Amino acid sequence: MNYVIKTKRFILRPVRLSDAKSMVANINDKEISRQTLNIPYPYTLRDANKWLKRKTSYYRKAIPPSIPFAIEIDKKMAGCVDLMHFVPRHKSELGYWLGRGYRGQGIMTAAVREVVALAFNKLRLKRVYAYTFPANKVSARVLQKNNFCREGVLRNNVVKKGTLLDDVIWAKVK
Amino acid sequence: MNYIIKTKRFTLRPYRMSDALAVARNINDYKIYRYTLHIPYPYRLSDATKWFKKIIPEYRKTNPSCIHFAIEMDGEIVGCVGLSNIEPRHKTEIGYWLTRRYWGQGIVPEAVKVVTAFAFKKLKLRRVYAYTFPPNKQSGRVLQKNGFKREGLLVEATKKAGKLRDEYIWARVK
Repeated sequence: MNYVIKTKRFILRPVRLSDAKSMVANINDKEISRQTLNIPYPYTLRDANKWLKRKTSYYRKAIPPSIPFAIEIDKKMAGCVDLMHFVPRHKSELGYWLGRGYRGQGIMTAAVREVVALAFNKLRLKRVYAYTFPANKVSARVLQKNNFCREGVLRNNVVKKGTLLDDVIWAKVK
Repeated sequence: MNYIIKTKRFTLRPYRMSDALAVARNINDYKIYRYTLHIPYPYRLSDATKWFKKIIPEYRKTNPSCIHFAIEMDGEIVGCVGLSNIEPRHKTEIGYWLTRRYWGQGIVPEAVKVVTAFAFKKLKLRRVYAYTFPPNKQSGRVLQKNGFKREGLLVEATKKAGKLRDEYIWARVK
């Protein structure tokens, strides 16, 4: 499951323990924490080390629970695209974040396009889905541009910091 | 917690190991199998006892992951309304089946009404959700009558007998 995708602007590759420092520099952002479910703010080096340790152990497994890709730009981990809740030959949930300094250039949209193509063509999945909070228009645009279909709004679907929130569910099928 | 609820027409109560024979007899139906995800056909006595060993210990727990109510009529188990994937104080999935000779009498709508009220009032949940296969109009009617809203169509979100299937997601929130 060690896939590497090179494009002109970035490289998608497995995450490494050595990504911790540049990962923290980019993920430690109130805005990222606000629009995601499990990314804390502030995000410490300890959080990064714990997360990377868990995720790097997945690449060795026959059936990985998730397949995360680092978005590498100028040797730094600028962001991440993760195929989570991986069900072989069936489906996976897409999650992603990108550091503030890299936004507004279509990088996330291009990275999602590459990972979704890999999910369908190499991993032979039939469905890739994603959740966004209703207020997160930017994330919704990334999915729209990749021809994801907005399947519905799941009310009170998640609890974040003790508050119930709705989820928009999106999917692309092959 | 008390899991016995009596109405004029039936009693909802926890399963006992001694119900296995009645369940195996009343659930063994292709028409039940085709619109559910985890009920085999043909359904053997061993399927019932295996399932009971999983769900009966949950009744005693402080935070059960599932609560299955057997529908008892005229001293016999004729169906079930179950709460599964319970996330305390948040949400649960509801599922149900009824043996064919009791269809068309409004028993499942009434049982779902009682169990949904139990989920909101006694378990203090905020979301009760259900999945149905699109051709299963009867099950959709049961949910509509109980104020469930159809939140979306999840394309190829599940597999049954090796085949990808769409499913509707329904929910009632409080």
